[in-house]
Amino acid sequence: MHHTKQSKPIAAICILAALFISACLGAHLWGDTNVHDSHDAHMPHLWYIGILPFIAILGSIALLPLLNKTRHWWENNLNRFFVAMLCAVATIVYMVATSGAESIGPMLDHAIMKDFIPFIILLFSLYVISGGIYLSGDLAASPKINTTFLAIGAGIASFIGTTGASMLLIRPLLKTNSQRKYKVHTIVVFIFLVSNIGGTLLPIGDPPLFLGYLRGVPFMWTLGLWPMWATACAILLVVYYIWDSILYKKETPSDHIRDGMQLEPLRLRGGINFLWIGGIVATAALVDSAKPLVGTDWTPFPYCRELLMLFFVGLSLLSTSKAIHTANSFTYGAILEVGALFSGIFIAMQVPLAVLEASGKTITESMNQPWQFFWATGTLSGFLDNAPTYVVFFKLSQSLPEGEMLAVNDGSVPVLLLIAISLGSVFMGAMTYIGNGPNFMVKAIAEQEGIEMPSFFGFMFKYSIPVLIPLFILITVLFLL
Amino acid sequence: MIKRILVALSGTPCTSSAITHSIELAKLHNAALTGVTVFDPDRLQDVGPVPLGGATAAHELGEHRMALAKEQIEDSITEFEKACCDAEVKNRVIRETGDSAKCLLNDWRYHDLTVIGLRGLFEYGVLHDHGDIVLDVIGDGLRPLLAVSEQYRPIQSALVAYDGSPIAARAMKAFCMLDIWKPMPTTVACFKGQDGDADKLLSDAESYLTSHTIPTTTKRIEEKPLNAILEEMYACNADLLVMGAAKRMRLGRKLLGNTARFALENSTRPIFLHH
Repeated sequence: MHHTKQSKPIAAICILAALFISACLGAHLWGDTNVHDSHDAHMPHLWYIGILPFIAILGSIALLPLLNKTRHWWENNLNRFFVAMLCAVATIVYMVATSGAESIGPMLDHAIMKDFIPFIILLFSLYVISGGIYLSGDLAASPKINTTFLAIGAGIASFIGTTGASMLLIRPLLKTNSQRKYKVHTIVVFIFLVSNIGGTLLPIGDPPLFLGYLRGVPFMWTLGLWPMWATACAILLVVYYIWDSILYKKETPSDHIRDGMQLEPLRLRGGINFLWIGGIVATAALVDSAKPLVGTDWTPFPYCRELLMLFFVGLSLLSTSKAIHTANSFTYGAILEVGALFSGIFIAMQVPLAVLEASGKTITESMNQPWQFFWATGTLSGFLDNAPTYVVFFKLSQSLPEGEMLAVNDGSVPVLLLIAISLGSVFMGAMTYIGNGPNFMVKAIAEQEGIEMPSFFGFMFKYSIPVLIPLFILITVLFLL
Repeated sequence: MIKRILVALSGTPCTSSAITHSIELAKLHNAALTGVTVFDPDRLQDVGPVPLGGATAAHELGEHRMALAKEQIEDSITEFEKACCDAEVKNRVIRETGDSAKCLLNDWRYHDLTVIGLRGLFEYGVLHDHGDIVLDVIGDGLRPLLAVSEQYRPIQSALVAYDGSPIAARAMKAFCMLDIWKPMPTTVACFKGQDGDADKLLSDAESYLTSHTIPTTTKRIEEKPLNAILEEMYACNADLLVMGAAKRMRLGRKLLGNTARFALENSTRPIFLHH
């Protein structure tokens, strides 16, 4: 009768976002198809049917967890995998029917062997290894300490991933602030900084950037985004410090006294896992089967990088006590979920990518500025998963051979547009709870600790829109115009 | 005649006050109390939209909420039974599982008055976004309803918000005819935006209440009820607000529906609502 007052509008927003992509694509391509259909060999035949599995899987992710009738069914990873495979098989059937059976091999090679396997192994490695690090403690919850927590989180998120950094720091931050009344703003800014923006500097920081890396963006290229990262982090930290200082003064003296009496020094357990994470970073940066290992003539064999990552996972599991995983409430559920769904997403998105490849020029006649790519990628990343969103706009940007270009696996990409897409997909994941996986994880942990977190729309209208939109406008003006 | 009172044991800060008010009324009318708890798994597990990779966290949050709700239900029942036992009031407890509003409406059928806490129903301190559930149950026919605030405050005077509409008239008449409280000093207030002549409405209402031996004064307020209704209740030191609540419309809520919603969300004193 009243399954969440918000579910229906949110489901509607998500479905509208998915439909928006297809409608925009359709509006641009319909005319294009009519004009070029007969002589454009790359445009997939009946493309508007071919993109349906992609829309279906994104729609399922948005809708099925919200409905009472499907919520429990969707909780099972096997059922998610079933939906993903259904969409994948539908894509394969479509491709066989329209392009012949010979098109399946290259498509699967691209989707599974080159995208899915490296992607999921990196996420799995970071997930497992960072799950072996446990930080405990209860510091004095002053604005200075809280700001330092956030700054450290924003600093390490690029190196251990936004999920790893969030899970590492959220519990001690919550414990530190447990005696304070005003703490929601701290969790919200934590989501902004640690769960999203902090992951800008390396491909392992946030999944979409790793997909860029798999497409040929150099590992160190994202380090060049440091001015935007530093600007966003500095502004948010200053805003937070002022905000928290004001609220700190509103706490009662008894809250301050209780906070001062329940201090516990920070204690790091499983620190050896930082070494294994260093191994992952080095492996991701140096081992690529497409080129010789730095300083040698030896070219790593295919999946050497992934095997090395799994090796570090093995070392982590061997060197980490079960008690640490228990303290972190570590399970494989989240990564299995990601694996189950992305196995289908990567296949289902091949048709939309082919459509973009064929007709990108038509779309980019009206959308060709970095700021447009930043806001378009970002807006969709706020509601849909940012990894496929990044790939879609990455492919689209390749239709615009203007300005400085960066060579990637299948051609080149305009540098300014790549900056815009990277920033949009990472930064604007912070706009909603569903913009990035760790956002929701942080919210869930905070609620379990008894914190009254804002609702979906409360988060947007009270926090992300007033704080982040002005920041993103500033980023646009400073770097993308 | 009040013989059976239904008390929603919601595990919120208002629950203790609801129990106290109910016991007071039960003693006044020699009535029996029924405490009802509702365990609503669908509502408790509804954690909103979940991003890719967040399903495990969502599941854990749902389980955590259900475990907490179960604890709160037991605590509420214990508190209710002890309070009734101490006051020597006849009582029983109904444990429901299912949709909160449907369960409450189901149990309401055989009771003369329902007492709930302001701002929410059966959240057990777990859900913070209660939405419009109280207005939903009123809209679905639950009446009369006493929604009480967190702080217990004996009810010794009332403010009747009256705009001449049939809904407001029904609330005023229920307040008189049910004799829930002993006659108490009552102010009838007419706000801006009422139907018809305000002075005549006030005069007619005063005459009606006086015929029920209720000492009545009237007040005309040149502000819309949404802005002034609670301020007026505090200004005239009324312990109870009597008002009608229109069924909410999907688009364009009726005036009093919005006012009732505002009052339910913001009042720090009890509200007697009748739809």
